[in-house]
Amino acid sequence: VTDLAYLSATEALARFRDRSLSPVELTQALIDRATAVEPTVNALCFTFYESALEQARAAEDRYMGRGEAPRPLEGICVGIKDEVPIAGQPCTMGSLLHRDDVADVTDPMAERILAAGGIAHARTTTPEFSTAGFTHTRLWGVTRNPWNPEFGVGGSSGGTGASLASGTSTLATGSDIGGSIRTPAAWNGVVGFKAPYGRVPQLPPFNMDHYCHNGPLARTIADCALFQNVIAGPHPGDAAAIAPRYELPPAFEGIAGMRIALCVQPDDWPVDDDVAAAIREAAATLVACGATVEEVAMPGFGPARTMAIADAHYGSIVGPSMAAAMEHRDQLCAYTIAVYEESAGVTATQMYDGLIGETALHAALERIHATYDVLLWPTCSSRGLIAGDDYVGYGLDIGGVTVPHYYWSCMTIPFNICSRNPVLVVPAGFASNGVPVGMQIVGRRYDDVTPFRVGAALEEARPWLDHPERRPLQDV
Amino acid sequence: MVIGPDDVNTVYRTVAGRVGSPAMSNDLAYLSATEALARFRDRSLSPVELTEALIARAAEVEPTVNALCVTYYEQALEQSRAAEKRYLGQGDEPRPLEGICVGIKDEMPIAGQTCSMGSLRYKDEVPSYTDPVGQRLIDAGAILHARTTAPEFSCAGFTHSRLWGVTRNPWNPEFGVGGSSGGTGASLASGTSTLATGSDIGGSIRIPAAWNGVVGFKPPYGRVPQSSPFNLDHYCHTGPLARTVSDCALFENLIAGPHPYDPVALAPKLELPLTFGEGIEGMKIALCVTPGDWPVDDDVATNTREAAAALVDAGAIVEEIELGPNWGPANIARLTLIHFGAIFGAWIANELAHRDLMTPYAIDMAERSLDAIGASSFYDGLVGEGELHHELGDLHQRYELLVFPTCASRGLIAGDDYVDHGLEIGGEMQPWYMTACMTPPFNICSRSPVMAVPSGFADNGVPTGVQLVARAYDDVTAFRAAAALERTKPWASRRPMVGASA
Repeated sequence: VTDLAYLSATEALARFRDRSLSPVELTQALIDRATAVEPTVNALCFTFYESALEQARAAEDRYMGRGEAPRPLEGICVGIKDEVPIAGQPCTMGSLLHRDDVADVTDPMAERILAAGGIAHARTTTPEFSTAGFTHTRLWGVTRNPWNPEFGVGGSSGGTGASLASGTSTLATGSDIGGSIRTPAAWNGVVGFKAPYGRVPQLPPFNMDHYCHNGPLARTIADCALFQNVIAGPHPGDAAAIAPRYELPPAFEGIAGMRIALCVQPDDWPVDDDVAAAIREAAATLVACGATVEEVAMPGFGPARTMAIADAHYGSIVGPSMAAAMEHRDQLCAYTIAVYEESAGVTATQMYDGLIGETALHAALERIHATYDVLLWPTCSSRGLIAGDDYVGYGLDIGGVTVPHYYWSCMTIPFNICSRNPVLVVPAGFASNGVPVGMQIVGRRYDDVTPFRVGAALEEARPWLDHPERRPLQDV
Repeated sequence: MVIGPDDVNTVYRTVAGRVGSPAMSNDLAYLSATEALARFRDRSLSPVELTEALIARAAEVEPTVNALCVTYYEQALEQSRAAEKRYLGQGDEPRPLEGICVGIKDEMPIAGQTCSMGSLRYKDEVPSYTDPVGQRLIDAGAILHARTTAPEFSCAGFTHSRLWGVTRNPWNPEFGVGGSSGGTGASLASGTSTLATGSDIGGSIRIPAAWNGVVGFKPPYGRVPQSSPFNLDHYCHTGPLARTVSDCALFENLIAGPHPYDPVALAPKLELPLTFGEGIEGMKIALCVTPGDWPVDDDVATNTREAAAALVDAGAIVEEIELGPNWGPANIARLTLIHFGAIFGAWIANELAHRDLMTPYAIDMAERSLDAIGASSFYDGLVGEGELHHELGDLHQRYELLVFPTCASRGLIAGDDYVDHGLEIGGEMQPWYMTACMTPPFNICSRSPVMAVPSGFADNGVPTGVQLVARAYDDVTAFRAAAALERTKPWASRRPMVGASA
């Protein structure tokens, strides 16, 4: 019964077209699945099931030849992160301050999903103002990992990752200013793509923040590419969106002869043994697919340094963006206040110093890419974060080392700094606690297709989520 | 030095009408790169002859203009002889710019050349590395015969420095050349370079293009690679200046495209056509002469409208539109200074420990920008920028191109640093001289390509210019419109009289 809920968008669209499946059946299957798993997972903070079923019936009509031709995502349920405004819909950003807000603008990514016939059936949870690498709020409570509910789902697109893993959305949106697409993709065992900055349009003012990216999460590589092709390309509302549009192909060439660099532990970054082992196994699979994999050292990419560079950036943009909310601290989550206060020490001119630091990382990554087509990195260094823990005032233990900040779990920030590099996150296995391990496949600047080729090869050799045995919460 | 409006009027009267007809004696110095390359190839001209003509022209005009702060004539002649050999079939094939003299703005590092940035502190600086654009020029066979003047740290809309003195307008030496690529603009206008480089963080390509009557292109951010860390500043652009639209396209094609040192540089490379014969029949163009409450000199307004009329003659549909108060000088100055406070101003502020060696205007820029960001935040600046992006995005849905004056005034007084005083534009006193420069809106809207081309002359003899602002990343449309204007309202045959009587 849950098979339908895990159907890929690519397959569903084919079956809609050959009329062996109706969008109404699929939408109903997702709703039924949500009834079963949501009490545990809590990934969906708003649902619009009645209007979704209505849209599904309208989509069915199109596939039956009544009315207009079906559009590229006609009848597919797409979870929308609860920070993406859609005019007329609630958009709380996980904050008590915005619990009753109804958006008056539509985000360009959401606009394209809706214009392509996607059904925005639910809003997925996010930490307050999307400021954390975990997902729980005073407003919506704790979102739990479908693979092990004692653990969290990562963040900030945590509801999105968990909804895909638990089978309550077919596709879902993310955004990534420090790893918010990639961290939840990793810990929920799904696929996420952080495109080069400017590839997917965003709303002002964060469209001008070169750390910030809208992007797709999905369960398969083909779905992720399909989704990315719907949302990418220039948009009159985003001055930073790159033209011409970049189109990913519908199928991906093999990787025989591809040169791949592997860095399991950049600089002094503590990495859990299970994570390291899973990444090495994934790399070995790519060797079996015909690629050459060589381990590389990446000095300068350690957590203290990369986070200091990023702090200067966040302090200039993310911090001040929360200044108005700080008038109402009694309403805010403790971690939101902590992020603001960490950024408040950043002086205006530190941004320039940060850029100097960024430059060194750009040059070092380019040296790797001069030899290798892609670079493999863990996505998260730990086996997960404890569900509901806000880690304010303390860090955690990773691979036997006590780290000062939970951010050290997220090995994603270096590619917000190197933001023109495409990064595809794919499942690489599981840690001993059952929580998935993710791997980042980092392409050359603006070379989106190559990480997809690597991801597709890995998926073919070691599929994920394709069978009930490889899905969570099968007994509910 | 403080010069009031009365003195300005005196200057107008003294020098008005100094626009000359083609001076036959310096035709070679004004040869376009496109023509020169064709003549090198058919051997009707040698690169040595052209380089000698530029050097001879410089001897004539440089005492007045002062656009070249360091020259490398011996090396240039040596390279010209080597280029000549290639054209004569000896040795390797000629490269795309083989034998063309390209002036290099004195802020672009070229290994082995002085790079003073107009600063006493760096007067003897000789970098050991070469900027990506400089390297592409060298690899294309260009001859880097001279460094062109720039204000200290390229932080002004005029060009004079304690180190190199005042660069003067070839069309009227009482006026300045704009900045910061002022030496580049003046060198092209006075016939001492065939092409020359610029960079633009607030208008520094477009302002000198306007006031010197030449062509400048501010590419979309990321099109042309830059040295770090300013490659990461979305206001900042390296770009070409030339005397003709075709030369500008030729130059742009040689410097654009992805580069390993610049992660922002866009891939794939956009290749411009070198001729734009298809015209602009039916192109929908918006004209905005006074955006927001921006005060614009009457001569500038007249010439901007004439340029728009010429585009109509070329087949375009031009409609005059209004842009709201966001586009006025106060808001633009506020947003620009906030942005500068985080990066550009912060960089200059690092020099304040040596303020005894600095120019007052560089100190002023550092202080103004740090004050602006101190009173606000980088984030607040982005919010304001977003409003402009939105309005321009809407406008560009309806129009392929926006025509906008480049500078609002008839020039700045040569050598005035405008530190304690503003200037008068169209009869109104303005608190900050940068109101004369209508360019920062397109550093804010940095993905829009902007061609700055001549629109005529003010009555003081100083050229005026228009910006042709195309949709984000649509470089070709800006060039097509510029080429149409060049055909209907040509400028290349008018040359300044400077040096003609010498």
